[in-house]
Amino acid sequence: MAPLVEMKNISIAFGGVQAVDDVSISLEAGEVVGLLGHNGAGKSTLIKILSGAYKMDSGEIWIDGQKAQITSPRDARDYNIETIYQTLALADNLDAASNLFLGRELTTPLGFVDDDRMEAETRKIMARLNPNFKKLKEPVSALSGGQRQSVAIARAVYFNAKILIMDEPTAALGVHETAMVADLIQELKKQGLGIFLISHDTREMMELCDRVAVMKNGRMIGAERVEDVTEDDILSMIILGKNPKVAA
Amino acid sequence: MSQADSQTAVSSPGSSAGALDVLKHNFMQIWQVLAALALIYGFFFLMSEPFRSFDTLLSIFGQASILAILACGTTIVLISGGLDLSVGSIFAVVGVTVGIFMAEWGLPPVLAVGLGLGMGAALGALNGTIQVLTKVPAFIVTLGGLTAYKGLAEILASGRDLSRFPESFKFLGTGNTVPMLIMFAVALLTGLFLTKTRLGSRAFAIGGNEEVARLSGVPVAKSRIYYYMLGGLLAGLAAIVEVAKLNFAMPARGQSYELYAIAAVVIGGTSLFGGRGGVGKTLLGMFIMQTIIVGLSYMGVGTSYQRIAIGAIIIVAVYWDVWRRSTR
Ligand SMILES: Nc1ncnc2c1ncn2[C@@H]1O[C@H](COP(=O)(O)OP(=O)(O)OP(=O)(O)O)[C@@H](O)[C@H]1O
Ligand SMILES: [Mg+2]
Repeated sequence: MAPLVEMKNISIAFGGVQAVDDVSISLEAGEVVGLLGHNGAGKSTLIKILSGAYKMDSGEIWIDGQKAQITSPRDARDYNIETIYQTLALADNLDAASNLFLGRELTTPLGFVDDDRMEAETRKIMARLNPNFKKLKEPVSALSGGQRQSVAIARAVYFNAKILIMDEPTAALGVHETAMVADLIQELKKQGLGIFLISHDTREMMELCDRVAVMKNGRMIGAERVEDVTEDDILSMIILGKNPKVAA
Repeated sequence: MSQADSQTAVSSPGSSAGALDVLKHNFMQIWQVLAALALIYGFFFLMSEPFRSFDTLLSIFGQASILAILACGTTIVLISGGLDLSVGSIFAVVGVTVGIFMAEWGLPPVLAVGLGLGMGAALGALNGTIQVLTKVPAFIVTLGGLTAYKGLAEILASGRDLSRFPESFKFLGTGNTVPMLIMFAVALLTGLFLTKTRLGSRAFAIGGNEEVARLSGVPVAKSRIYYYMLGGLLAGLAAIVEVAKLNFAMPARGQSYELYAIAAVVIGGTSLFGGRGGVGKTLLGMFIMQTIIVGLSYMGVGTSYQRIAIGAIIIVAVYWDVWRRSTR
């Protein structure tokens, strides 16, 4: 069977900077693939191409064995790709419900925006993701980093994604909330989602991911199953930019 | 029905408090503006004998209504983070065109009004389209529109006597009442548009953070064109009401209306930088401005001084907006 996602020979440059350079990576349904690498390695840029935020200069994206055309966030959405951006991508002036449903507002049969239903749905999903979340009516600018994070996560989880991209989803979270995200990832994985996860925490990645891929200076150093490598192997890939598995 | 019932049942303790919260929240947002209006009205009430009559109050509403119709469009555009300096000139073009349709072509008023509104919408949409396609800032594109549309209105009107319109048309400008009713109807519809439609509610997201809106799958460019289109349409409607009221049309009308509209919107508390505001605020802002104008003229203060006063108030209102943004 064809993989859920195949990104083939992806390249993109910003001005003189080759942010992603001929990178290929795949993702299966029910699999968590981790992306590791130093700041500026090109991780966010790579997944932003999949999420439709950037247009690649060259390369191909295949989804379920079909060549996909993703040139805008709307295209990505049509392929059931949901993204939690590193920057969270929330509109600060809007409340949680408006952010959750932005671009996909629920409507009444007459076509009017259904605020009550959106609020009720937001209440429901937030109760599941972050039971402490109470500030439903306030602009998200008034929320803590962790609360904002859970709004962004709710936004990605609510719409039945098949492909989920999480760019440093636990960066702003405490220990307890980080554990909740880890549980959520396991649950979504069981439901058969494919997940791209970006994090700087190598140990966390070894626990959560089925495979880890390391990038450096826009290039893919290697992607290995977590049981085939040690944490030290990963670190040396990140730092040296060489895959000990291949060299050996 | 049963589903709705169960939902209210589940959230009923929260939701009745919620409704109160919303009321309280709305009041907290506008109470300063309401207080300012009361203070200003009270000031002139004390200072000027003739100002105290009920007719004066009516005429404040009446004079505010035409500008307020136009300002409803300005509200939409500003909330979306846009700016349209050309609506005063669109006002002139539509006024003149509707005049030509009736005085020269003898079109029935309904058709003339329909075509006039279409004209306003088209000119507004043109502003939006040029911005979206060229990425030239709104300020520049609509500044171009300001002079270009003004020129167009002058060309269309030159050598023509555009007056004496059919009674059924003049009805739209009857006294203070009809324009006022039109204003309230327009404000109500604009409010519904901004809060209850997808396109309208997205104006807040686009004005708040355009990139986030784009990443969320909002068709930003297309939405913007619609907002400018509505701005043009309402400028056209305002022009039609004024032409009906004056019973003549000329290209000099509408001059500086865009600035007065922006002033009213900002005085009311809608952010000049997008993402925050509402049409009720615009009406309040318009009443404040009109009260000052009427009050000052009752006190014998000339129009030139009135302009200076309005200018000062605009700066204060924007300063307040900037200050509020920096404190949250
Ligand atoms: N929109 C952009 N315009 C210009 N350069 C960009 C843009 N986005 C990314 N870059 C550049 O591309 C390179 C890769 O950046 P990217 O954000 O993908 O790194 P990253 O691996 O996600 O890093 P981090 O771990 O810090 O999030 C960097 O050199 C960055 O400066
Ligand atoms: Mg990044």
